[in-house]
Amino acid sequence: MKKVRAGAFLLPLCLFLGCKMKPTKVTRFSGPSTEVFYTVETWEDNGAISSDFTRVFAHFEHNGKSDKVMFLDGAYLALSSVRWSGKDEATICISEGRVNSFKDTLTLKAGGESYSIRNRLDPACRQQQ
Amino acid sequence: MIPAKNGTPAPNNVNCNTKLPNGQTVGQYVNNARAQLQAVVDRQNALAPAGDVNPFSIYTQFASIAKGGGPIDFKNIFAGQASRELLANAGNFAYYAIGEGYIPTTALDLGAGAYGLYGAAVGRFPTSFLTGRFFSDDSARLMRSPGLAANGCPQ
Repeated sequence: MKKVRAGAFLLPLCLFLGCKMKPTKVTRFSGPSTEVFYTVETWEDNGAISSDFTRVFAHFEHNGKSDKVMFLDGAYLALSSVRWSGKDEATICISEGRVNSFKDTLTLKAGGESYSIRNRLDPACRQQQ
Repeated sequence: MIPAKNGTPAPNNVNCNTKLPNGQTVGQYVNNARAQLQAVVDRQNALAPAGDVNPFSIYTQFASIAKGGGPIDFKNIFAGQASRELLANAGNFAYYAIGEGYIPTTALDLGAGAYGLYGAAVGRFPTSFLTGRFFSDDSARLMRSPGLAANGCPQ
Protein backbone atom coordinates (compact mmCIF):
# COMPACT_ATOMS: atom_id res chain seq x y z
CA MET A 1 0.00 0.00 0.00
CA LYS A 2 2.91 2.31 0.79
CA LYS A 3 4.33 1.64 -2.68
CA VAL A 4 0.99 2.53 -4.32
CA ARG A 5 0.80 5.78 -2.36
CA ALA A 6 4.38 6.65 -3.27
CA GLY A 7 3.67 5.91 -6.93
CA ALA A 8 0.52 8.02 -6.91
CA PHE A 9 2.59 10.89 -5.56
CA LEU A 10 5.68 10.42 -7.71
CA LEU A 11 4.02 9.84 -11.09
CA PRO A 12 2.38 13.30 -11.35
CA LEU A 13 5.57 14.82 -9.98
CA CYS A 14 7.55 13.11 -12.74
CA LEU A 15 5.05 14.20 -15.37
CA PHE A 16 5.23 17.83 -14.37
CA LEU A 17 8.80 18.26 -13.18
CA GLY A 18 10.40 15.61 -15.35
CA CYS A 19 12.47 12.82 -13.85
CA LYS A 20 14.68 10.66 -15.93
CA MET A 21 15.63 7.13 -15.13
CA LYS A 22 19.23 6.25 -16.02
CA PRO A 23 19.83 3.44 -18.52
CA THR A 24 20.56 0.06 -16.98
CA LYS A 25 23.11 -0.85 -19.66
CA VAL A 26 25.40 1.24 -21.89
CA THR A 27 27.51 -0.24 -24.68
CA ARG A 28 30.03 1.75 -26.69
CA PHE A 29 30.91 1.27 -30.38
CA SER A 30 34.03 3.00 -31.64
CA GLY A 31 33.82 5.36 -34.61
CA PRO A 32 36.24 6.16 -37.45
CA SER A 33 38.22 8.45 -35.13
CA THR A 34 38.53 8.98 -31.39
CA GLU A 35 36.24 12.01 -31.70
CA VAL A 36 33.27 10.01 -32.96
CA PHE A 37 31.59 7.05 -31.32
CA TYR A 38 28.16 5.51 -30.74
CA THR A 39 26.53 4.40 -27.51
CA VAL A 40 23.67 1.96 -27.14
CA GLU A 41 21.71 2.76 -24.00
CA THR A 42 19.13 0.29 -22.73
CA TRP A 43 16.47 0.74 -20.10
CA GLU A 44 15.47 -2.69 -18.78
CA ASP A 45 12.49 -3.26 -16.55
CA ASN A 46 10.88 -6.36 -15.16
CA GLY A 47 7.12 -6.84 -14.91
CA ALA A 48 4.62 -8.82 -16.97
CA ILE A 49 3.63 -5.86 -19.13
CA SER A 50 6.70 -3.67 -19.00
CA SER A 51 9.07 -3.22 -21.94
CA ASP A 52 12.79 -2.78 -22.35
CA PHE A 53 13.73 0.13 -24.54
CA THR A 54 16.96 1.02 -26.32
CA ARG A 55 18.26 4.31 -27.68
CA VAL A 56 21.30 4.65 -29.90
CA PHE A 57 23.28 7.90 -29.75
CA ALA A 58 26.02 9.37 -31.91
CA HIS A 59 28.69 11.35 -30.05
CA PHE A 60 31.12 13.95 -31.35
CA GLU A 61 33.87 15.36 -29.15
CA HIS A 62 35.96 18.25 -30.45
CA ASN A 63 38.06 20.97 -28.82
CA GLY A 64 36.92 19.95 -25.36
CA LYS A 65 33.22 20.19 -26.25
CA SER A 66 30.81 17.39 -27.05
CA ASP A 67 27.51 16.77 -28.77
CA LYS A 68 25.20 13.77 -28.51
CA VAL A 69 22.31 13.01 -30.87
CA MET A 70 19.87 10.11 -30.72
CA PHE A 71 19.19 8.61 -34.14
CA LEU A 72 17.71 5.16 -33.50
CA ASP A 73 15.43 3.72 -30.85
CA GLY A 74 13.14 0.76 -30.29
CA ALA A 75 12.03 -2.07 -28.06
CA TYR A 76 14.56 -4.79 -27.22
CA LEU A 77 17.03 -3.50 -29.79
CA ALA A 78 20.43 -5.13 -29.80
CA LEU A 79 23.24 -4.04 -32.12
CA SER A 80 25.77 -6.66 -33.12
CA SER A 81 28.10 -4.30 -34.97
CA VAL A 82 28.65 -0.86 -36.47
CA ARG A 83 30.72 -0.89 -39.65
CA TRP A 84 32.22 2.33 -40.96
CA SER A 85 32.82 2.95 -44.66
CA GLY A 86 34.93 6.08 -44.53
CA LYS A 87 34.53 8.72 -41.86
CA ASP A 88 30.92 9.65 -42.45
CA GLU A 89 29.02 6.51 -43.37
CA ALA A 90 28.01 3.76 -40.95
CA THR A 91 26.18 0.49 -41.41
CA ILE A 92 24.35 -0.69 -38.33
CA CYS A 93 23.62 -4.32 -37.69
CA ILE A 94 20.52 -4.90 -35.59
CA SER A 95 20.43 -8.46 -34.32
CA GLU A 96 17.26 -8.24 -32.23
CA GLY A 97 14.31 -6.00 -31.46
CA ARG A 98 11.89 -3.64 -33.17
CA VAL A 99 12.70 -0.20 -34.50
CA ASN A 100 10.54 2.64 -33.20
CA SER A 101 12.30 5.53 -34.95
CA PHE A 102 15.37 5.95 -37.13
CA LYS A 103 17.08 9.02 -38.56
CA ASP A 104 19.49 8.13 -41.35
CA THR A 105 21.30 11.46 -41.58
CA LEU A 106 22.53 13.43 -38.62
CA THR A 107 24.81 16.36 -37.95
CA LEU A 108 26.69 16.84 -34.71
CA LYS A 109 28.21 20.15 -33.64
CA ALA A 110 30.98 20.62 -31.09
CA GLY A 111 33.95 22.93 -30.58
CA GLY A 112 33.11 25.08 -33.58
CA GLU A 113 32.97 22.20 -36.03
CA SER A 114 30.16 20.11 -37.42
CA TYR A 115 30.25 16.44 -38.37
CA SER A 116 27.67 14.74 -40.56
CA ILE A 117 27.02 11.01 -40.60
CA ARG A 118 24.87 8.88 -42.84
CA ASN A 119 23.54 5.71 -41.20
CA ARG A 120 22.18 2.62 -42.85
CA LEU A 121 20.41 -0.33 -41.25
CA ASP A 122 21.58 -3.66 -42.63
CA PRO A 123 18.58 -5.98 -43.01
CA ALA A 124 20.86 -8.97 -43.66
CA CYS A 125 22.14 -9.00 -40.05
CA ARG A 126 18.98 -10.55 -38.66
CA GLN A 127 19.05 -13.43 -41.13
CA GLN A 128 22.69 -14.15 -40.26
CA GLN A 129 21.86 -14.66 -36.57
CA MET B 1 2.95 -13.53 -37.88
CA ILE B 2 1.85 -10.38 -36.12
CA PRO B 3 2.88 -7.26 -38.00
CA ALA B 4 5.04 -4.94 -35.93
CA LYS B 5 4.70 -1.18 -36.06
CA ASN B 6 7.48 -0.65 -38.57
CA GLY B 7 6.16 -3.28 -40.95
CA THR B 8 8.64 -6.00 -40.04
CA PRO B 9 7.21 -9.20 -38.59
CA ALA B 10 7.13 -9.29 -34.82
CA PRO B 11 9.70 -11.81 -33.70
CA ASN B 12 9.02 -14.30 -30.96
CA ASN B 13 5.33 -14.66 -31.69
CA VAL B 14 3.72 -16.11 -28.60
CA ASN B 15 0.66 -18.30 -28.12
CA CYS B 16 -0.70 -20.75 -25.53
CA ASN B 17 1.69 -23.47 -26.68
CA THR B 18 4.84 -21.38 -26.42
CA LYS B 19 7.31 -23.18 -24.16
CA LEU B 20 9.08 -21.28 -21.43
CA PRO B 21 12.62 -22.13 -20.27
CA ASN B 22 11.34 -24.48 -17.54
CA GLY B 23 9.45 -26.56 -20.10
CA GLN B 24 6.02 -25.35 -19.08
CA THR B 25 3.84 -23.64 -21.65
CA VAL B 26 2.46 -20.12 -21.40
CA GLY B 27 -0.96 -21.79 -21.49
CA GLN B 28 -0.23 -23.66 -18.26
CA TYR B 29 0.57 -20.38 -16.50
CA VAL B 30 -2.59 -18.89 -17.92
CA ASN B 31 -4.66 -21.85 -16.69
CA ASN B 32 -3.17 -21.67 -13.18
CA ALA B 33 -3.84 -17.97 -12.89
CA ARG B 34 -7.36 -18.28 -14.26
CA ALA B 35 -8.03 -21.04 -11.72
CA GLN B 36 -7.11 -18.54 -8.98
CA LEU B 37 -9.51 -15.98 -10.45
CA GLN B 38 -12.25 -18.60 -10.72
CA ALA B 39 -11.72 -19.48 -7.04
CA VAL B 40 -12.34 -15.82 -6.17
CA VAL B 41 -15.52 -15.82 -8.26
CA ASP B 42 -16.70 -19.02 -6.58
CA ARG B 43 -16.05 -17.57 -3.12
CA GLN B 44 -17.94 -14.42 -4.02
CA ASN B 45 -20.85 -16.44 -5.37
CA ALA B 46 -20.97 -18.40 -2.12
CA LEU B 47 -21.05 -15.17 -0.15
CA ALA B 48 -23.67 -13.53 -2.36
CA PRO B 49 -26.75 -14.83 -0.51
CA ALA B 50 -25.45 -13.18 2.68
CA GLY B 51 -24.83 -9.96 0.75
CA ASP B 52 -21.16 -10.03 1.73
CA VAL B 53 -19.71 -9.57 -1.74
CA ASN B 54 -16.52 -7.59 -2.36
CA PRO B 55 -16.63 -6.45 -6.00
CA PHE B 56 -12.94 -5.51 -5.88
CA SER B 57 -11.58 -8.89 -4.80
CA ILE B 58 -11.24 -10.11 -8.40
CA TYR B 59 -9.20 -6.99 -9.24
CA THR B 60 -6.99 -7.48 -6.18
CA GLN B 61 -6.33 -11.09 -7.17
CA PHE B 62 -5.60 -10.11 -10.77
CA ALA B 63 -3.22 -7.35 -9.63
CA SER B 64 -1.30 -9.86 -7.51
CA ILE B 65 -0.88 -12.04 -10.61
CA ALA B 66 0.12 -9.20 -12.96
CA LYS B 67 2.37 -7.24 -10.61
CA GLY B 68 6.16 -6.99 -11.03
CA GLY B 69 7.74 -10.05 -9.42
CA GLY B 70 4.46 -11.95 -9.77
CA PRO B 71 3.85 -15.37 -11.34
CA ILE B 72 3.76 -14.06 -14.93
CA ASP B 73 6.73 -11.72 -14.63
CA PHE B 74 8.59 -14.03 -17.00
CA LYS B 75 11.42 -11.55 -17.63
CA ASN B 76 12.20 -11.72 -13.93
CA ILE B 77 11.51 -15.44 -13.38
CA PHE B 78 13.54 -16.61 -16.38
CA ALA B 79 16.15 -13.84 -16.47
CA GLY B 80 19.11 -14.84 -18.60
CA GLN B 81 17.46 -18.05 -19.83
CA ALA B 82 15.72 -16.73 -22.96
CA SER B 83 15.39 -13.60 -25.07
CA ARG B 84 13.93 -10.78 -22.98
CA GLU B 85 11.64 -9.88 -25.88
CA LEU B 86 10.18 -13.39 -26.00
CA LEU B 87 9.65 -13.38 -22.23
CA ALA B 88 8.08 -9.93 -22.36
CA ASN B 89 5.76 -10.94 -25.17
CA ALA B 90 4.80 -14.02 -23.17
CA GLY B 91 4.04 -11.78 -20.18
CA ASN B 92 1.90 -9.43 -22.24
CA PHE B 93 0.09 -12.35 -23.86
CA ALA B 94 -0.57 -14.00 -20.47
CA TYR B 95 -1.78 -10.71 -18.98
CA TYR B 96 -4.57 -10.42 -21.54
CA ALA B 97 -5.30 -14.16 -21.75
CA ILE B 98 -5.69 -14.44 -17.97
CA GLY B 99 -7.82 -11.34 -17.59
CA GLU B 100 -10.12 -12.06 -20.53
CA GLY B 101 -13.61 -12.86 -19.26
CA TYR B 102 -12.79 -11.98 -15.64
CA ILE B 103 -11.67 -8.36 -15.96
CA PRO B 104 -13.29 -5.90 -18.39
CA THR B 105 -11.05 -5.38 -21.42
CA THR B 106 -11.06 -1.62 -20.79
CA ALA B 107 -9.67 -2.22 -17.30
CA LEU B 108 -6.95 -4.46 -18.75
CA ASP B 109 -6.05 -1.73 -21.23
CA LEU B 110 -6.03 0.88 -18.49
CA GLY B 111 -3.64 -1.26 -16.44
CA ALA B 112 -1.29 -1.67 -19.40
CA GLY B 113 -1.68 2.04 -20.11
CA ALA B 114 -0.63 2.95 -16.58
CA TYR B 115 2.58 0.97 -17.07
CA GLY B 116 3.14 2.74 -20.39
CA LEU B 117 2.56 6.21 -18.99
CA TYR B 118 4.86 5.53 -16.08
CA GLY B 119 7.61 4.34 -18.44
CA ALA B 120 7.27 7.48 -20.55
CA ALA B 121 7.11 9.72 -17.46
CA VAL B 122 10.43 8.45 -16.17
CA GLY B 123 12.03 8.67 -19.61
CA ARG B 124 12.44 4.96 -20.28
CA PHE B 125 10.76 5.33 -23.64
CA PRO B 126 9.22 8.13 -25.75
CA THR B 127 5.48 8.75 -25.96
CA SER B 128 5.69 7.65 -29.62
CA PHE B 129 6.16 4.12 -28.25
CA LEU B 130 2.75 4.25 -26.54
CA THR B 131 0.85 2.98 -29.56
CA GLY B 132 -1.68 0.80 -27.74
CA ARG B 133 -5.01 1.62 -26.14
CA PHE B 134 -4.99 4.06 -23.24
CA PHE B 135 -1.27 4.72 -23.80
CA SER B 136 -0.21 1.11 -23.42
CA ASP B 137 3.11 0.43 -25.14
CA ASP B 138 3.91 -1.19 -28.45
CA SER B 139 4.62 -4.61 -26.91
CA ALA B 140 1.23 -4.64 -25.17
CA ARG B 141 -0.40 -3.57 -28.44
CA LEU B 142 1.18 -6.51 -30.29
CA MET B 143 0.10 -9.13 -27.77
CA ARG B 144 -3.33 -7.71 -26.87
CA SER B 145 -5.38 -9.29 -29.65
CA PRO B 146 -3.74 -12.74 -29.54
CA GLY B 147 -4.04 -12.77 -25.74
CA LEU B 148 -7.70 -11.83 -25.76
CA ALA B 149 -8.43 -14.27 -28.59
CA ALA B 150 -6.76 -17.17 -26.76
CA ASN B 151 -9.99 -17.79 -24.91
CA GLY B 152 -8.13 -18.53 -21.67
CA CYS B 153 -5.93 -21.19 -23.32
CA PRO B 154 -8.37 -24.12 -23.00
CA GLN B 155 -6.65 -27.40 -22.07
